[in-house]
Amino acid sequence: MSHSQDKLQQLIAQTPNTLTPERELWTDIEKQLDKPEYQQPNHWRRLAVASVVLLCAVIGTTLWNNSAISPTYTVQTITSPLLTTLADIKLEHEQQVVLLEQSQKVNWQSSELGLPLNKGIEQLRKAAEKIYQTLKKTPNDKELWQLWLWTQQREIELLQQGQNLPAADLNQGALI
Amino acid sequence: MTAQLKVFEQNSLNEPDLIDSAKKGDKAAFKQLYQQHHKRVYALCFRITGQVALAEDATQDCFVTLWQKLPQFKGQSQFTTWLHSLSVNQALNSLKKHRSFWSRFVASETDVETVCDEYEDLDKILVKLPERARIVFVLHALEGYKHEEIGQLMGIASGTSKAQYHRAQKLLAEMLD
Repeated sequence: MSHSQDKLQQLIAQTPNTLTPERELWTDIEKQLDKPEYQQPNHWRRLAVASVVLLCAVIGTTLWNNSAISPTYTVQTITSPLLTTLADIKLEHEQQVVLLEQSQKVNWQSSELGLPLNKGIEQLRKAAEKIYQTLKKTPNDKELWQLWLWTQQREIELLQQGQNLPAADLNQGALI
Repeated sequence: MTAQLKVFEQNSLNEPDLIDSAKKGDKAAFKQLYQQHHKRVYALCFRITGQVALAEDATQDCFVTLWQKLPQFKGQSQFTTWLHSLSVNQALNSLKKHRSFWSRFVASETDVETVCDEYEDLDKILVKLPERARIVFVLHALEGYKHEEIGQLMGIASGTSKAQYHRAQKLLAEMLD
């Protein structure tokens, strides 16, 4: 083995630094010199492309949903029983509120304790109206239905709570 | 010998000018640089890849890359050192692109016969080595790289490089017996 090791060291020392290629290489090299340099992928460009694709997807989805909703809406304005139910429930709730207001024995709205309650009722009504308008466009939205019904129920509850507040009798002024 | 030395000196003196001209897009100057260095680059590529065709491709790729990267050469290191480093990387990249799964573990049989006819002693048996052992042996024994440097270039531990080197030595010694 020692002999072969010596021989190997000798071969390493004798190995030339250069070797001549078997074929001419310059012509092919020269042809490639005019080609534009390969550029590393630009991460900002990738990000920009990804953003554009995402934006297109979002816009596409929105348009698709709108186009799916709109015809339903136009048809539903004429025929949907859900819209009829919606209008019925609204009317029924308004009648219930009127009845409650007529039956109230005390003017709790004018008392200090009744002010926050009154404000809460106003906010609930505004929210309920917005939800109602949205429901007319998307009557199949169950969660929105639940939310709308909850606002009505809560309004009734607050009105009933107002009745129990200590306040001036409505007929007090009349007596004076 | 004196004539050879004269030619060498003339080439050495002209090299910075050739580099400057080539940087400006002078293909004739670049061709002269190619003529001066292509045999050294080819030898390196051949010993790393172990295949004639791949070595030729790697040499061509190397000079195309050199043309593209030449404006980045600021002359802080020697041009030959810079080119050598570029060639080693190019040869390793070419090999990575072309090698098959099994060639990492067994020697390539395809070029052994042709190489035996065309090349000198050590080059005849180098191609019989498994790929990793051959690359490590070439870089350490012939090109003077340290095992840490080889490890960084090949993405292996320096201990692995040492082990591959000893394996290559043993295999070559057996071939010479």
